[in-house]
Amino acid sequence: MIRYILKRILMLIPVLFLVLFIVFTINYFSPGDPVSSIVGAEATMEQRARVRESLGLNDSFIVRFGRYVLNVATKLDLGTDYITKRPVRDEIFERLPTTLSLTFLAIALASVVGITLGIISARFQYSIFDYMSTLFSLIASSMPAFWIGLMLLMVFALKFRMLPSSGFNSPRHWILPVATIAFNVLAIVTRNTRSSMLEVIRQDYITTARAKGLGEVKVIAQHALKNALIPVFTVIGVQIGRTLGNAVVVETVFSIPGLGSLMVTAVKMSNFEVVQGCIIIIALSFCVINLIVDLLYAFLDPRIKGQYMKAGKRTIAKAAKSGGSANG
Amino acid sequence: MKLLEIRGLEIHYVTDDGIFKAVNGVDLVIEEGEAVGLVGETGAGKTTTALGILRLVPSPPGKIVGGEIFFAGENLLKKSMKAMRKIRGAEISMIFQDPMTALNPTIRVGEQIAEVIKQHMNCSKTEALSRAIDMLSTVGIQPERAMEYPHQFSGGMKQRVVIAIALACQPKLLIADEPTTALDVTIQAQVLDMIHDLQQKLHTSMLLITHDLGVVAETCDKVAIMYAGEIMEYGTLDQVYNDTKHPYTKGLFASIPSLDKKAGRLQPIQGMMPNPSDLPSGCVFHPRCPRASEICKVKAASMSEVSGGHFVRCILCENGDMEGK
Repeated sequence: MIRYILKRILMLIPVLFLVLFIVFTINYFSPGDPVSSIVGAEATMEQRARVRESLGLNDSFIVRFGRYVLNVATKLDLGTDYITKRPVRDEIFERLPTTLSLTFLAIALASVVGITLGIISARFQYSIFDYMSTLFSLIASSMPAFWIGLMLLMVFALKFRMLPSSGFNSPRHWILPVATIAFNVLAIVTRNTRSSMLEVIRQDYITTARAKGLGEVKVIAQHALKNALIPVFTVIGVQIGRTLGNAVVVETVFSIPGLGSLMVTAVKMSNFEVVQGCIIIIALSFCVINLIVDLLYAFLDPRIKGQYMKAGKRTIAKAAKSGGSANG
Repeated sequence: MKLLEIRGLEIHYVTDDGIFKAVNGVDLVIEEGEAVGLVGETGAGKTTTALGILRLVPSPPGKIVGGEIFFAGENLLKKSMKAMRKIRGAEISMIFQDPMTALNPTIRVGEQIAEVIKQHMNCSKTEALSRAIDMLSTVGIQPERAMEYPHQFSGGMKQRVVIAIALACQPKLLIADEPTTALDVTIQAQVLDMIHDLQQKLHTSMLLITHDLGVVAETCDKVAIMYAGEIMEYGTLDQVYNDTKHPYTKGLFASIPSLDKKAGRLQPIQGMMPNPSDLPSGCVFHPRCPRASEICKVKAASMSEVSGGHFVRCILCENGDMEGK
């Protein structure tokens, strides 16, 4: 198991390197010029050249990319914000908690409600409740987050003045942005739980459980749920990644000082190192979340756990063998 | 004493493509301590009958539309779901066809057995688990394997676990639905012997569903031959095997290869099982029956008793024409 985790963590390195390369290349060839944002439009050519030189922008692509990767790899240094002159790492870590709590609140809400709705829909297939929840998920998953956000703002913040429209200081501020993100995810989780549950309910071991005389609640909660949740967790994992990306939109709509709004401002100012840093952190979070989801499978499904264990044992056995022969 | 008596049981599957009449007026009696074999081709309605007894026919689309099922004198079809749950697993339990899919892959084997004990025996979790482990050794599995998961067991071992679950609460009636079909031939005999021994030891009645007449001959006291949702012939082993009356049963025996007779070709029954959504008029077997006459196409046969306890559903027997053939 530990070997498996280590292997997966090692695999993060090439993935992150590739992400770095792509983002860096796009930044390199994109038209904006950070120097104008730093010195202003009235600066002389001389001033511009001096700033350009001090930022190392005159070096070739290879040199700049190499320097950046080296800094990230050896010092975990994500570069410097051209405008505020502060380390990008500090700026990101100031804002990361906001984005993460927004994401996880929304995902938690969507998962709990979505799984519950999905189970009830599947158990009472073709009932009024099932039709209503299917219709609701269809509508909710068809609406883009920025539109839902704007609608919620109009209704609850502008019209009824029940909730604040911007900021992220108190639980009251959380409601609208969390609801905006949760809406989409909720729809997807509901639909997936329903279909997965319907498949599991038809399995023979559910008939076995019923033939034991177990009540319906026990059949669903103890026998069906554990098996049905495995594919649902995959979906939730993917949705967490999508939500981190969606944060850009939602944080802009609700003026939340998170990673997303940091990134949007940085893009506008051609503040390349900040953009790169944000994307790397989002990519890293995505990978880590996927790893956690994969490990969760092992706890839900002993067959998968067995596979991890076996794979580990096999490599250990192989290593022991080759080591032994080398000694002999 | 009659433990189970089924009268005129009818189970239909209602789908968009039509009504599939899986079970059409089945009558069946199982005495206490007796083993009855229910034999028929695939799709004859054997499993549906069994699920009907436990009221576990998947609904929708399945529906019990008529008949009565008396178990220990009480009509199961009139019981509430709560009362049914007290019977399932405790009084009547079932061994399923495919052990590969009958066990929950995410729950430890011991817990799956303990669950049924805890449900019905009113005992603590630890006590249920220790009884489950006893049950495992009864079916020949080492106690330490109770903490393993189904995927760590072979097919034959899994079926032993299923048997352990079925017998854990010492039920009065055991329904074994083709318990050996999914198993290796070498394991089949082992598992059958075990079911037979345990059934004798616990004095449990058994309904053994199979399409293997040889298996029935080894383990059962009585046999019912089922075709297209109806019982065609019912009697003791001796009556059905040695004094075969119904043309369908005769066809079944003729299609079994014999070790002592030198036969060039097997004699299959001509034709196919009818589609349960479009059953033939009159006797359901008439399109395939070598002795069918005009009347068979219009008049459905009823059960007639040809000798003490030997029932046959054939017009020829009703008229007494069967003799001399």
